[in-house]
Amino acid sequence: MSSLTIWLVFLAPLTSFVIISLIVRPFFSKHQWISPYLLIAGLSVSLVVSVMLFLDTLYTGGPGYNSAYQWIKINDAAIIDLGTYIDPVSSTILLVVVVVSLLVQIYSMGYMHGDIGYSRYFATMALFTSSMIGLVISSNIVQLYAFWELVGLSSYLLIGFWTERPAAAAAAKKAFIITRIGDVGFLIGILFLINHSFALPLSANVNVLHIPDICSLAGTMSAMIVTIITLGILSGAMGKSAQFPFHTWLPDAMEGPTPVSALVHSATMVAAGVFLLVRLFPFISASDTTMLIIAGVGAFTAVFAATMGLVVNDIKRVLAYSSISQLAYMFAAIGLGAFGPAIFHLITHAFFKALLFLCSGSVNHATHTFDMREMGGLRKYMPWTYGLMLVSSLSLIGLPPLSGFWSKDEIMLSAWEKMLHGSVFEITIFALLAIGVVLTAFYTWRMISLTFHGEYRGNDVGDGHGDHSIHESPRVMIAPMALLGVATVLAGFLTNPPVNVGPIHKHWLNDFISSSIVFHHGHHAAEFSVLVAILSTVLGLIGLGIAVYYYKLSQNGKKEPLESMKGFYGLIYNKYYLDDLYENIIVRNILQKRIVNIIAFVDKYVVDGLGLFLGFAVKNVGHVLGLFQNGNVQFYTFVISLGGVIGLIILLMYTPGLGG
Amino acid sequence: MNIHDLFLISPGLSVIIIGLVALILDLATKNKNVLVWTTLGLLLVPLGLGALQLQMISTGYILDISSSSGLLEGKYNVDVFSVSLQMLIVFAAAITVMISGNYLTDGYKTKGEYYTLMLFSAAGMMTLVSASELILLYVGLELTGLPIALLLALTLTKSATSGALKFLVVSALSSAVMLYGMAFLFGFTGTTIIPEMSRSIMSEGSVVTLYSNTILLVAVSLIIIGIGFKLSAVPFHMWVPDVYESGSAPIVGFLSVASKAAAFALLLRIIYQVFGDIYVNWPLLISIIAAASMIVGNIMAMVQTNIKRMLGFSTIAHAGYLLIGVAAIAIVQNDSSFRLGVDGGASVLFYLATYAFANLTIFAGISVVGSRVGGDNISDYKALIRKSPQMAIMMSFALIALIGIPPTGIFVSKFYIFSAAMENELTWLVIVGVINSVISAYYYVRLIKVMFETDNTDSDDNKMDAPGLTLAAMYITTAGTIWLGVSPSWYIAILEQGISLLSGVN
Repeated sequence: MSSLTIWLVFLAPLTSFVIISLIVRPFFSKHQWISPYLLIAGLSVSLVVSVMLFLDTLYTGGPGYNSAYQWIKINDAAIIDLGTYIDPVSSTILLVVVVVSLLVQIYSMGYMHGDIGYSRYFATMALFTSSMIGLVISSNIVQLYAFWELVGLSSYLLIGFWTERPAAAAAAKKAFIITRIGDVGFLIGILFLINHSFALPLSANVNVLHIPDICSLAGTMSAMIVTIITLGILSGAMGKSAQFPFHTWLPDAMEGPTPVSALVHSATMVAAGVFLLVRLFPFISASDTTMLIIAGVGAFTAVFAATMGLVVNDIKRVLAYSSISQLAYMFAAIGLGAFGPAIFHLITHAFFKALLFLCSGSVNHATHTFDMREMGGLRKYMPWTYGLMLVSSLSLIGLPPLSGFWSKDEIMLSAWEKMLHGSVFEITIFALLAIGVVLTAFYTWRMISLTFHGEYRGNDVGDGHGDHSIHESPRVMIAPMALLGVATVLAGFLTNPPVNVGPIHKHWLNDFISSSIVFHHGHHAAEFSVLVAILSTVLGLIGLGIAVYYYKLSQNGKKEPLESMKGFYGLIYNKYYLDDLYENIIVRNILQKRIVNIIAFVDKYVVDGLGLFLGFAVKNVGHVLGLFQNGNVQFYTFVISLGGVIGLIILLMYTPGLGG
Repeated sequence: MNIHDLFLISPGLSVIIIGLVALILDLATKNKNVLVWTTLGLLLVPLGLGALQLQMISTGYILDISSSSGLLEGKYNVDVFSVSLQMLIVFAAAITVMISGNYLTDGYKTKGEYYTLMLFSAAGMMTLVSASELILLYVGLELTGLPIALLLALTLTKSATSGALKFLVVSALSSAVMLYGMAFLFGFTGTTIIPEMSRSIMSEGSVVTLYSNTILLVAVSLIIIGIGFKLSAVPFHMWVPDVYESGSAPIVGFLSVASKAAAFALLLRIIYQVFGDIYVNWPLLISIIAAASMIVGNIMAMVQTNIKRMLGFSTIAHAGYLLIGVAAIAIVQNDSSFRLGVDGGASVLFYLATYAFANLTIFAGISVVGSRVGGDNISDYKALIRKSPQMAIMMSFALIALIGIPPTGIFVSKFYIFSAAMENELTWLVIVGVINSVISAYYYVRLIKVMFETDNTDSDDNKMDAPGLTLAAMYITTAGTIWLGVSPSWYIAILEQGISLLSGVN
């Protein structure tokens, strides 16, 4: 497969972006309807190419590394080039990104219908998708970093898509700033890598910025440096994947249009952190410290985010916390060394969580609200949405035979095996992940119950014809949801069956992922364990049972069961006061009052003084120098001669053997 | 002289012939367009010849005059270094022809002379980059300078003639100083052929005596001072803003790009072929001049209100950045002597090309705005985005390039120059350079701000119709800025080859 074909997967949606933003939007504003078709056409090309790449990689090992061209050569061991690196991991993720994006775009045609920024929406979505594809296929870490920032930029633009809403603008800014804090760590990691290149011997024949080379680089560095670089990369991944303590931006990001949440903030961009860690797994895993931190952060965030999901009333925020929690499972898996199950869960999660978001968008389309207190009883009016939401919810809970069961079970299994011959740390990890399963089941069923069961509580019935104004979404929205529903049911079992099923080899996806050459010692999936499967299913059923019990008894969820536990409820309802900690205490009190006061003092008296002085000085130096610039040519020649004499003196003084 | 020799000097020769053709054509036709298009078309000839020569060099057909007996033996170099620079100069001349067409509509009583003089100057520069013999070199130097002085005076206004006279006087002084330095070199080595000087110094200076060093030291400093004028480096810079302000925009643009390229080529040739063997601390002198040029250029540019004057100081600052690369040529050895490296020289050549693209874009814009508005104040550029969005956007892009922000060529150049300096332990100079880049952003961005500043009062402002040929020139140079920004490697490879052939170091 030629390298041009590979680039086509990236260039096709990029072309859509260029055409929509530069031609359709400014010149054909009467024909905005064409924008989604352009993007869908571009993505269809990408889909064909990515399927070809996936099959090629699966059967023949794939095209691997293709260099497009060299941009900057820092030294022989640090070259910034643009290229593609297609290996099992990237070809798989590429396929997921393209498929989910294509379905979400089709859905968006219905959801965004009539929006004043219709073309702008699809242009930004095209920019996002092409950047995300670029991120996945990048062969150079600097190239990856550029796309990493581009998806951040598109995320910012999409969260703040409805610019007239102050909340959206604030959320966009928050997402941008918080992820940027993480990205600084990533950048520092890259700079350390470049710095390391100067220490490499010429014979090493590696490029410290080339991703496959990075994977084998750990042996040439001191353990300290490896830890610093991996922690830097980890901080970038944690910011992007909204892991504690960077998680606060993701719930707010729900201010964006719902298809954006489905694509950017659950299925693809937030999973980029997980992708990055897996892409560099051999390097990351060389530092035990980093691995411990990844596992710890993952397990903690899994429970931490889930508890906040127990009490929020905004359906999208429930899903946002759920995304954080599920991404945390992937982090925990990576920390335990099980990158295969992490990628597997990433894939299944992309499908079922995108579906959940699209369902919530469908509900919003009907009720014009995201507040679950104003919903209820919707299953009567929206049978398709209800059915699909139920399937994806049960998949999120992890009930067999849905896809979420298989992937979560593999993560639980890895944690279980680690625990069997592990210490207190591993036991804690497993316990936290197990608690997370119960909590997930609880908040998921709470969401279903409040939204679809009981009686309709809303008063926004639109045209005043009673409940009947609530109707099912149009087919253009239901169809992609249904396709995702199929994926949600099948993607788990078909990709990683526990036993050989006909032509399908057991654990083939896991083996395929692990076969990438950068993983020198491929991770082999643990054998399916009935015990663990039963355990995780039972845990899910327990959470489900509790939720069913409470939300049947307390009529229509008018009173939250957890409200009786006042202290705890207040704590989680206020998101552990972390937003307050960040915004009120750190930003306002510490940064603004203390530090800013000091800075203000310094600014007022030192910097301003210096600035005034410098401005004064520069101006006056400018003026004084300007005096020399008097247009008098005799004077100019005098200065030249003087300069010549001074130059001669300097040379005389500093030339060895003469004066210096 | 035979056909082979004629082929070797053909690019420069054809430029002179084109100049003469322009002069005759001016007499024969009154149609200005015929003159412009003919000149432009004919300039493809030297470009093509240069490309052919590069191709022949790369295929191993060595175009060395010393291999042929004749008038030019050992005096004129046709190698990757000189041919690539000659092509850059012809390119700059062609762009200048493109942007001059509209500028000459009024103010200039003469037309043919204008192109002739400009092309003669270009031929002088081409001689300068190829000559490896002192007398030929000096002829090239004067051929470069004198037509420029005439061109600056061509409008015959008071300010123009005074600017031209300043240029002439300072130019004469610096030529005299350099000639004095050359005389010392000749006196010490007994030859005017540059490569032979080095051999002579090696044999004489195998034991470094105090006497020999002092003579060479005087020669070195006099030559650097003489070239410093052409480089517009501090403290030999004072003519620059005056001349830039009074000269016509296309000619000033040509001066800032092509003349600078020729002067740096001369400096590089002398450093690589002569200084390398002299035990004189010239890198220190160059570093000091570099730092002073950057600081003075940028600070003075901040307080200017005239755009050409501002760009005059900006070109001084850029000479400073370029001199960082020159200083980085010397790689300090353990025993505090030094050897010569390739990266410094290649980075300077790369910077010259990228700077040419960006600066020509801006001067093209200035030539249009200046002739339409009738002034060169920065305030005249207000709301240019409304009047001519294409020009405003391309000029802004060129200004961003001059700051050194990716994905423009100058970003890569600065990166390359600074990293070459870092490797040669010139950290302090790099810090000065980076701080100065930040300072320079102030006045470049201020100009961008002015161009994008629109208030509603002038919403019905008249459009500024840029001539098609000028716009085409701007598109070409903007494309060049982007091209070298995203795909610099191939060009850097050529330049590195050129430098290593020039110096015999790898």
